[in-house]
Amino acid sequence: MIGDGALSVRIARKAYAKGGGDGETLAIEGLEFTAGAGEFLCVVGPSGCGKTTMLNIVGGLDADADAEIRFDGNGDSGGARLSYMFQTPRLLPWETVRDNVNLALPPAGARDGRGEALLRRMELGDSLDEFPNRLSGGMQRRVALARAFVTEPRLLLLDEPFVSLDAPVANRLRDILLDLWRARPTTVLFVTHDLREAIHLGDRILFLSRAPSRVILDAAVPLPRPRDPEDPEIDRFRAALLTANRSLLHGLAGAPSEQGGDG
Amino acid sequence: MTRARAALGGASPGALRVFSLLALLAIWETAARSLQIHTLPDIGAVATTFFVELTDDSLLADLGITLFRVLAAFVLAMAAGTAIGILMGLRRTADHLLDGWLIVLLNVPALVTIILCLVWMGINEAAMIVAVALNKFPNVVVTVREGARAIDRDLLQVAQVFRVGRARTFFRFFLPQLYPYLMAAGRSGIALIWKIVLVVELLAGDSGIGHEMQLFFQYFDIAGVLAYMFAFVVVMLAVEMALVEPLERRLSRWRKPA
Repeated sequence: MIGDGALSVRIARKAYAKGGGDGETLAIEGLEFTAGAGEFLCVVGPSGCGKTTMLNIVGGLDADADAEIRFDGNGDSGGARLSYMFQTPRLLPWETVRDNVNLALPPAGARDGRGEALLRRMELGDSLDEFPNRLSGGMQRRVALARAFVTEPRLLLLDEPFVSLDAPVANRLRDILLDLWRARPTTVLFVTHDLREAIHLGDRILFLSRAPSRVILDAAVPLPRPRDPEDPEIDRFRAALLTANRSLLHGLAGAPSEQGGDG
Repeated sequence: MTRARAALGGASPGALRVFSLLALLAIWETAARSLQIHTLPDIGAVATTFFVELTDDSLLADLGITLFRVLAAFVLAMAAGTAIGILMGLRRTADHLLDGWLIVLLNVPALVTIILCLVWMGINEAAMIVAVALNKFPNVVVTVREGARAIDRDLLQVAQVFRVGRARTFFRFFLPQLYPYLMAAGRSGIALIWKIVLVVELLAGDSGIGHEMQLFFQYFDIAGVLAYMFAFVVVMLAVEMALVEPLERRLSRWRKPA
């Protein structure tokens, strides 16, 4: 039985029509997993394996899939308070930082200053009335992270949110994410192609196969929190995972050949 | 030559604009004085007519009536054109269904639209305004459709995820993406509409600047024609500077780099 705040995902089949000709490409087949309430679950897989497609289905953005998503035992996760941080910040360029965050709230909620308080806590207090295109890439991600958290979601989806950032900026954002997650337990589904990042952040890691994707390995991360991103234990665990599952993960997530890839 | 170019290049945009307008007036005045014909009055004659018409208040009344018709036709064409343009840009079926009509409408000469409206609807205020709006409407549709086709659906997904509701999705996420297209349609719209309003008034009006133009035409009173034209151009310039440019600045202020 699914408990409060737990997520259960079963995607039997998802296919795309092939561009131009007839026929279709199978993106996902038999992808099933669950996440416990308040669990930080990372999903790792090779480029183009359907990670974003999976998140869109879970997030209710893709109705054209043979899938069953349960959250809190409800028929769909959309009924719960769900939030999504996309691969690019996707801020509205014509709205200020403040309004970008407040727009995620119902009109009444935007007036109690919750958005401003969160932005100040994330050191964006001086930029409340700036437009997003005046901010650095890292600050834009921070605004997007604030928007994702301001609704106090019970399920948070993140799609490689920190790619193409400098390592210090990305680490700073990971710290903020973990702080927010600790302050208010949220079930998190975090998609990445970077195994080090997954080990740094996650309670558990799911490895997806190449398309059509399904779960090929489900590994708990035994490291205590808080974790230091530079901790050698992270690299040690990563090496152990890759060695123990050499044939399964060959050429897949986190292997050196995949380091430069993207979603 | 080089010195002239250097002097022009160093001048401010405002100064250049004033200079070019003064040059136009100078050419006109020179031509009027050297030709000495009745159909090309000099600036003084036009100015005299302008002030006479201004003080006997028929000019202001006609100006007001014409401006009202411009405004009504503009609002009608923009509202209907935006609605249909969005529909055609987003829905392929609607696009296929209506595209043929649109091409017909784009290619019907303004005069034909005007005659048909006046014949079918009778010579009245509504017919005049519809006739004018119909001439602008297809351009608005074409421009707005282009904008609706270029909509960034990623941003609409954000609206969907955060459940911001239909009205807020439309006004905060969708419509701002169309502003550049609406501004383009609006700007060319005002220019086109006021020209066509004059034609309609000339044909069917018993008032308005176009009607006055017809009277001046009958008497070959070119000073009157130019005086009325001058009055209208001043009003339109004022509209451009007092309304259109501030609106455009406001709508695009987020584009300004730091």
